Amino acid sequence: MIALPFAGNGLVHDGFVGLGVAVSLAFYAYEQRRRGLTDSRLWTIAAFAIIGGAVGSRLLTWDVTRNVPLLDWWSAGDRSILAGLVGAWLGVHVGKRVTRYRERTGDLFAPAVALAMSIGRIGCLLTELPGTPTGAAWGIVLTPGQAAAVGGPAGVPLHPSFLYEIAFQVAAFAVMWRFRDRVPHPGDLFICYVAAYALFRFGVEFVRGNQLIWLGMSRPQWFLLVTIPLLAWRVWVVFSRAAPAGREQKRVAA
Amino acid sequence: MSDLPPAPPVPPDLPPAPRGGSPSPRAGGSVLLGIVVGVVFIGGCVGLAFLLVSSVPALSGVLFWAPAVACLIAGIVLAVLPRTTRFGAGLLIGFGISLLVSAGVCVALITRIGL
Repeated sequence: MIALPFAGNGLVHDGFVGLGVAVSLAFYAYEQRRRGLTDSRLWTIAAFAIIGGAVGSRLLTWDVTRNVPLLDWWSAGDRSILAGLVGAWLGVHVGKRVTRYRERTGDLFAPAVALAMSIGRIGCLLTELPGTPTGAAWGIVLTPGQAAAVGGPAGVPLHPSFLYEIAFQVAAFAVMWRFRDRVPHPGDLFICYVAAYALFRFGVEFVRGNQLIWLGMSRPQWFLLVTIPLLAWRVWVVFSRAAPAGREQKRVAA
Repeated sequence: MSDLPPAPPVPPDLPPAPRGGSPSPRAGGSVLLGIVVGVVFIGGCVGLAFLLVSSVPALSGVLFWAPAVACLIAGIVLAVLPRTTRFGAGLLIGFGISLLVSAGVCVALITRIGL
């Protein structure tokens, strides 16, 4: 069984977040070079994405029913990677508008986001409440001190839910790395990645240990219940566009 | 009249080359330098605010917020100007990374001193 060596340590958590962003920026630079993209506006758009993600992860979770001032919420309120992704997406659109860049950028961002999250989540794994109780041998057991720091039960094996997410992100990155030049239309890679992450996240929330607000589901799950149908529609559009192209290729080849 | 050879079959569509924006000349400045300047600048402001939090609380808050806003505005202006786009983008990225990594600490500091 695994321990939680840095329970509640914000420095370790944010250190891995910073490392994740740094590595993903290096990958972003590599991808630009590999694709022959020299437009400097892509860096401005990336900057707006990071700022949007930083602001969104803190402010888009603001719960007005708790009567907490916004400034207090910023410093001590809930932080959410889902809210951060929405903020980053909005930031990209603001950046595109500011720079008047009109082409799609999602396929460039998607593998970089997966890379950033696979590293950033290591910080969560080492510092946060791991998940719900489990009987599995790989559960994380907290000492009384660690349990007090993260607000979980001591002496009980807990699901390493962040480890599951790291595995998902690494796998997603590997798949995108393999197929990033084979998507039929610009933006398809990003849509498929976001949809896959939404589905995965909805499932992993059942062992995450977040507060359940209604019908046994957490806030992220209710948010995802709204967004997953929209993403499913976008994925359907992706594959319905790809299918006729594939049939046409076979017909011509025959 | 000679028979023309049959036209070769049309090759299947190749995967589209990843598209970028409209071709534009490589702008001036260094992204990496901008990132370093942004992170060091915001980090310096946070450090200064920490140093002054006990002695001059009001000044401490101003010393954090004013340069942070100035850094954001300067980054946007420089990013929009073609000759400094890359440096400006780097400055904004440095600002964003600082915000992502240390914003909670900074605002906790400001909140604690009642600003």
